[in-house]
Amino acid sequence: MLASYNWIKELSGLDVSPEEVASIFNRVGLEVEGVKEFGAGLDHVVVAEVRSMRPHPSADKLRLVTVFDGEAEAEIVCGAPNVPEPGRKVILAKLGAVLPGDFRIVPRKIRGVESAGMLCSESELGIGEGGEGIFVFDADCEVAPGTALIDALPIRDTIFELGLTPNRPDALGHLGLARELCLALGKRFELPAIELPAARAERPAFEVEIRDADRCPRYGAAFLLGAEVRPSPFWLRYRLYTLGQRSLGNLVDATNLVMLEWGHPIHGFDLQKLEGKKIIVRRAEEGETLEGLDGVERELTEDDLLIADANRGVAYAGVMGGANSEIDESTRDVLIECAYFAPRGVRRTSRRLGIHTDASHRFERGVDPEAVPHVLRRALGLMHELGGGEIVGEWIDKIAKPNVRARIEYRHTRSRALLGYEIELGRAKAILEGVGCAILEANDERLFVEAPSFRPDLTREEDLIEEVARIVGYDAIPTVLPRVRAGEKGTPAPIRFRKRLVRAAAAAGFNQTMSFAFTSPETLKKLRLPEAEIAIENPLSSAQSVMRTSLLPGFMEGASRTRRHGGTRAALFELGRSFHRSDEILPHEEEHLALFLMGEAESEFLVEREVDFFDLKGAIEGLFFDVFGELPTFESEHESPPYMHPRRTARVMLRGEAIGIAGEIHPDLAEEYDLEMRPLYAEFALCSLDRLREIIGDPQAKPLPRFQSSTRDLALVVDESISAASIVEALLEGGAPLAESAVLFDLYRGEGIPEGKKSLAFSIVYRGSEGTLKDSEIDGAHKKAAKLVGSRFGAIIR
Amino acid sequence: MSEGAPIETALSELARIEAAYEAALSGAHDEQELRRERAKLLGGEGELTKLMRFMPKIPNERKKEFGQKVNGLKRAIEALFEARLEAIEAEARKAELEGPYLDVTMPSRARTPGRIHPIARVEDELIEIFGSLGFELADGPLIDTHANCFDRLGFPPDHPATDMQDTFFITRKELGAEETTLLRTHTSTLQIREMMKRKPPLAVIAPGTVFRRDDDATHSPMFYQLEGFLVDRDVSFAELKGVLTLFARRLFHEEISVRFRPSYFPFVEPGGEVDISCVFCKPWEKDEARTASCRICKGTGWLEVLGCGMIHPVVFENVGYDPREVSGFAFGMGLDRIAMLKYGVPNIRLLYENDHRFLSGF
Repeated sequence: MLASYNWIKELSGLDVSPEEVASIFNRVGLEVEGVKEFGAGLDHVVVAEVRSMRPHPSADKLRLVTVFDGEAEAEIVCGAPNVPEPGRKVILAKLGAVLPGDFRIVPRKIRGVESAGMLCSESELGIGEGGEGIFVFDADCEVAPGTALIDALPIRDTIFELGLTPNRPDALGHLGLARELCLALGKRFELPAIELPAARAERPAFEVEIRDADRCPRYGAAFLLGAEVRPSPFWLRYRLYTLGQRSLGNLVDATNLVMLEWGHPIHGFDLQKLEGKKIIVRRAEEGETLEGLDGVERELTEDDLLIADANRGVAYAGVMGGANSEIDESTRDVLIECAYFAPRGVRRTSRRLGIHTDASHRFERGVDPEAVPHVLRRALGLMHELGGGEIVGEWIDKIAKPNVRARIEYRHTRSRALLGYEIELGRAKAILEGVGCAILEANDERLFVEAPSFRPDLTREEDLIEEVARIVGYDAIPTVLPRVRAGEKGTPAPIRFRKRLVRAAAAAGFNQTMSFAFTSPETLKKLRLPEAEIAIENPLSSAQSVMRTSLLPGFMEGASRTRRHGGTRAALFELGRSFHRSDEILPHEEEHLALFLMGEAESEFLVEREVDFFDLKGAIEGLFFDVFGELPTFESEHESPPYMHPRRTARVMLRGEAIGIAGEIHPDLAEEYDLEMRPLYAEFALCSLDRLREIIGDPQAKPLPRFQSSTRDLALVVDESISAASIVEALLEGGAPLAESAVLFDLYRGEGIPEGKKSLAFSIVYRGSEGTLKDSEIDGAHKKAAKLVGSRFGAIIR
Repeated sequence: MSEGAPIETALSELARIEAAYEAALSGAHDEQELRRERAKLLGGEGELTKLMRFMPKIPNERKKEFGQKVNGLKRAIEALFEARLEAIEAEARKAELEGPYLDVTMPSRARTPGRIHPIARVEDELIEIFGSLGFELADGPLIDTHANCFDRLGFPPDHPATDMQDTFFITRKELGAEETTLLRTHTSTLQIREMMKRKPPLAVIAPGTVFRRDDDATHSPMFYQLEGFLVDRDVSFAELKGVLTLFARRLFHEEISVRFRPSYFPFVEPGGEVDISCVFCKPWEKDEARTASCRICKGTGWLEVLGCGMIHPVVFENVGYDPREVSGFAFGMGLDRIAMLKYGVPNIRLLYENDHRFLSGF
């Protein structure tokens, strides 16, 4: 909502600076989001009188106009088509003037002729839309040449851009804003008196019928006959211009001005275009169509309220007028509609039709149902002033459902408890009166008030307490710390556990990401991920039209971005959710921890290599050792999902439970995303990790070994298909109970080793529980270990 | 060595060794050389070791004498070796301590740890601040019902208040009497969820992602909020002010001013918005020119950071609390915005693009 400082000042009768008004509005909850000055800085712009005019010697469309600026005559080159006859006055920007947009007027030759300034249009001065040509004062204008423009025309104003909350429809008109200003300053506000000239015309035969009292509780119609449609005077054009409205001729402009003043939208119909001398307020028939003022024909439903004449729809009620009944240049007789349409209905129609207008904006929020006669009176007076004609003294004001004002109690004790601050009851009473409440009862402890009809937001005691508090000022309320109440359970363990996972993943070398929860079906398909099961009804774009089924898309997109910008590395993790169908009302949100690793390894100086599976494996070991104090194990996954490498993917196990997968992303996908690298990916289900968290619990202290250990090495040749982990398992089994650990320390293929075989060397640690082992005991255990490996895997001991 | 007269040969060999060892050991310049020289004498195939093998051939009466001599020489060699070793080590230590400086600017071998997302960093700070005031954490689904997101919070049906939060709706599985589901537009759903689950007193904060149909230079369709609320007997607006003032001062700066302005959210009454002193131009340092030209607060010296208010009685009624028995306050803030303010992030988009280069900076 744009609001004029001058207008508020005039309606409030208060002399307060624009800065003070802005500060007061902010303080009482009408947020000023911006301030714009109009007509500022127009020095050297004056009224000038046209003295003579001659053609430009070398340009057909230009003329040389001699004007008198109060002191001297000057010749100005002018291209406007509407230079008036001598004696009429125009606006001259003299040399040295600076027009909006930092347009400096300096001596300038135009097609060979020097111009001593510029004759200005409204748009060049930033005071209007301009239209065609320069500004010309009315013939009867008596302002003297040389008068500064700011003294000749009311062109200076400060416009506030207000960010109003939807509970305050009263502030969508300047009267409401003036009332608010008076309230904040403790001054009495009075509605301006509306003088109407004597009515001379008889009311034409006309009827209003309301067929839906819930959707239209009240409908008023007034008549002005024989008016003349013409351009609006400057003051009106200027006001509408500064408030962001287009000027569309005097009668339509009048309806807009009244709306901006009262916050109550009204509509002017061309009375002659209404058929059957009747207005019927009814629901549209399913499929009924009507062309709006904007020239678009729309189909309506039974839920839409329609203003109709005897034969057809003439306006979308509360939203927009119809093209078939609009005021045009030939209009003489006008029907002015001022109604109260129920907010919900207007909103539904406005949403369904996809049109948001100044009218629907106000009706949706709730206009003042009791203002109808005042608004009609004001509209009639203004239209008559602007367009002449004859006022019909008797108007129609049909009340299908009377407004009921809310009656609310205000208790001193309740206010004090809720605010933590005592506001004297007398002060509260004065404020509520200023708000517009009628005080029905008052004693030492409570007030009983009736809320004004223009404040539909006041329905409960808390609403009144807020009114009192915001006018007293939230600043007045003290700042107190609440008693600390420790919760019985505290933060649930799963939530704390997630924080721990995040810290561990970061410690393992990964940067935390947060990616969009939605993606496109195409992305899921491209990444060979499960199809989306949860779709968004009204997505912003197809790229964000379904809920993700995996965290992978975010990583691939991030990695691709990093690559495009020349980045050579990405180590990312996300703790996030995927979305799946469920039997409940709400979908199943599955939580995952996912890791993504790609690009250059952080390794030894002068050693350059790309990360591979074992970098990821190491990170995962570190991560879970951090979280659980235990190392996960890795098994070859032979049924890896289609987005993973079919031969380089592991199942990650902890305490015998599969907690996730880890491996290389399928090279086809990396290629699809132009990564030119082999990215690695791991994902873990939080539900498994949560179970492990419960099982594993706190680490328990273990006794430290009391006796020295001894180490023996064993080299063997096995088939390529035999995994290192299975040999370790066999070594420990064979060497039990003395074998404590077995670690692979060498891997060799090539000369001396047959095709399809590999040579592995393990270092096995033996330790006794009763004493330091003798060589013979160690040898015995070592032999048994080697024997088991030999028999189990056909291993040849070297 | 000849087989002639073993004792003589042996003794002369002994004399030769005795005469030469000092020069050999002293001539060694580093530890390796020294050890090599020692090995030549005392190693498995060392000269002195070999000499000992003569023992069986030495006549018995001279065995003792010969043995003593060999052992004596061996001790002498060892002693000199030890002395030389010590000297060489001392020299090397001296050379190291007085020699060229290590180039500490060469690349390290350390692995860089990852970084916590800027939003999560702010979240952690807030958890700590509100945690110290007794607030517990809660979490809930991102897809929720219309009832939890709007109706129970007191949004009137078909009311423009819902325009403040343009909503993504979830496609219904099949047309029917099913409830409308949506991507939650605010974390205030957790007020409903927690209150329906628990009884007062409760003090909860609930951070998480939320969604609105808004995508431009300053809005992301997904962003991050933190909701907080406290319900008990006789909770007052003054306490709400206390909690939020403390939060702002602890999070940003102890001299920050906090300003409460009336505003409207359907689920609070009285409702307000909170501005804090601009954390960029720092008005508390009283540099007026800096504030006047501040791009971030547009010269006002204030930044809007959160919305708050006293929980509306309708909300209490909707969750089965008696508004005559309990009162409470609630507040909500965008952690994106706070992270952007705190870490100077110029564009909200950067927070959700998963670019390693950006994320490494935190």
